[in-house]
Amino acid sequence: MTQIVGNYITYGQAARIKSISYQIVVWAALLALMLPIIWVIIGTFSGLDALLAGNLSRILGSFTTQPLRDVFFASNFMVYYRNSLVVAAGVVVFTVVASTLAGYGLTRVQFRGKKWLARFILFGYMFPPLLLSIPMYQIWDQLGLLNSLLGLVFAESSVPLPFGIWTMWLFFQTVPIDYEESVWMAGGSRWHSFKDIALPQAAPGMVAVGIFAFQSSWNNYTYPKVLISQDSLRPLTTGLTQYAVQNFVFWNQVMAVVLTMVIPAFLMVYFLQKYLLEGYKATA
Amino acid sequence: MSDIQVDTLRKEFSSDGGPIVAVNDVSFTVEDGEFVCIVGPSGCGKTTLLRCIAGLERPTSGSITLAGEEVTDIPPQNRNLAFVFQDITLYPHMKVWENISYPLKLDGVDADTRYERAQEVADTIQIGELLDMYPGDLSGGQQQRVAIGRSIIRSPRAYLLDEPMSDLDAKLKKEMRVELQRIQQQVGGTMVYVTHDQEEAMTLSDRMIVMDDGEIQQFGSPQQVYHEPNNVFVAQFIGSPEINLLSATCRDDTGGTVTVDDTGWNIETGIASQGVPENVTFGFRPRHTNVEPVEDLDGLGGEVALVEAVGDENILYIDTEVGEIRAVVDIERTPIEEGDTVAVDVERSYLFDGATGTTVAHSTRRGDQPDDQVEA
Repeated sequence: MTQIVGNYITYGQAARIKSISYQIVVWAALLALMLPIIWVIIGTFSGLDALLAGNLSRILGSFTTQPLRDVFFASNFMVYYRNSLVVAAGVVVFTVVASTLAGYGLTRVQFRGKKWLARFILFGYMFPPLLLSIPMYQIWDQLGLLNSLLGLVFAESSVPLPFGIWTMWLFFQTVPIDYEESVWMAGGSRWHSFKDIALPQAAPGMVAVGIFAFQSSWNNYTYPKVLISQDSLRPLTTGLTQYAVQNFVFWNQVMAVVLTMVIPAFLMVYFLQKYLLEGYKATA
Repeated sequence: MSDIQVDTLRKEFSSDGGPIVAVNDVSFTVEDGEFVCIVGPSGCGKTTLLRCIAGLERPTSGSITLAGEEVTDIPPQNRNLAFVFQDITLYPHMKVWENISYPLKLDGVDADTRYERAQEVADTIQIGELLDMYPGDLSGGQQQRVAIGRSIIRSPRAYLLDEPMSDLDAKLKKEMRVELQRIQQQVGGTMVYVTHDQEEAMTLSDRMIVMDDGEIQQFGSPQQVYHEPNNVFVAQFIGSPEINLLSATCRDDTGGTVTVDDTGWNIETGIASQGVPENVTFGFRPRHTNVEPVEDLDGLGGEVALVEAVGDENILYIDTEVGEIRAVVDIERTPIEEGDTVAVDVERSYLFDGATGTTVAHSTRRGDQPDDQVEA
């Protein structure tokens, strides 16, 4: 084989070709991954007829903000959005608090059957949500938690909680015990050493658990579908199905809702990605 | 400030193979204002002993008394002791002044007062300009000072230090040692300092406890421990280079002459004792020797295998019929090279019971004057 680099082109040129071809691959992959999002954006600003006809030039030519206006002003969208935010906030708070306390307890408190309990927690993952939702429906019914946002918070927390406890358990293990012992020697109680020392050092873990809890609740479809039947209590995921009537789907309105749904999750991950990575690093 | 009395303290840890005795019925008293080092090889129970005094471990049996108050069952929070940990334990998310004054925060002191007190303490330990930095920005020695600052801010009853200098480099260690002694004189406290480094213990202590296998082998001043070791273990552990030990036979029970086993070497020990058993271990420190080059060797000695120069001294490693022995000589007065055959004359000897290792006799210091310094 003849040597091309050095004879026909210089090493500098070869490096540039290499760098450019890498960029082409990266942008092509990115475009493929972003295609659904791009399609959502296009759909949000298209007329329904053009969208259904499926002709790209007609779709692009039919620019309108009508779907957005319909969604915002002529539907229950704002109610769904509020419900989603309230439930997600509840799930985040409940999951972070519960898994932080449980993780600390698993790390620092010695009791019988600790390892057994820690492994058992992960068993929660083995059941599909749909399977859990049936007994849950019956229990929630007894407790009067059907058609209640509080009930939905508890139900949806069952998804991120095992992961959260596991993460926080691992995080607290990275805080050496003598840091806490030095607090006790200085006269502080276990509460002081937990609050002042262990908690700040495990903060990245709490953020990671919080993000995970948020996205889990935000995207949860099964539990609101089973536990919520009242329209004014629906979150976005099940509320979205209201844009399909009988045999007809208002696709451009669906797209508009999806677009607004993606934004909080996107912002959250974008600004907190540093912590998210740290959280996954600890669990790996 | 207060004295610490430890009485028949025992600490067992449970394990799969039955209980492990970490501290085996240990008793001693540290006087008020005294600097005591607990020294021993790793796994000898010294840290466990310290943690029992601190209250971080619950003893299996026995009692601990601080200034006359029995504290055995009192939690660490209420003992008012300061503890400096091996890995320094500065809180990474708090500034230096917050770290130093953290004990005061627990007492509910307001931030302004805490900053002032932290400033006072920081000036004492000469880190006044570092108050607003984070521990991560400090050097090892500075972090050490901050940790000490945090321990002195509350005027505790006693200071407990668990190998605080093990992560520092040799030069910094020497500096911090001097610094620690200065601080102790300034704040005047009872200090119990755990270390595995016998040199550190020798230079710091008023008295030192030598531990092995969960038991106290000897408790005394560095001079006593060096010159009058209780047994083979103490003699071996304290002093560098290590003491030479040869198994020997003692014909009469005065210990005046011993015969090194497997040789015909009869060595005058200068000991006039009584009841010396026949089977003994004969010991002499590398510094307590006179080494001379000879043509024909007749007695203790051999060929110099290695010469290690340390400052203006040479450490000789001499191959003899009964193994390697070490001797320290002055570089200028006794110029000896590798390959020379040398005879070793022992100036000061120790005799240990060959079976139990207990010291049975040692020759008196010559003229009983403080002849040579304790070298570590």
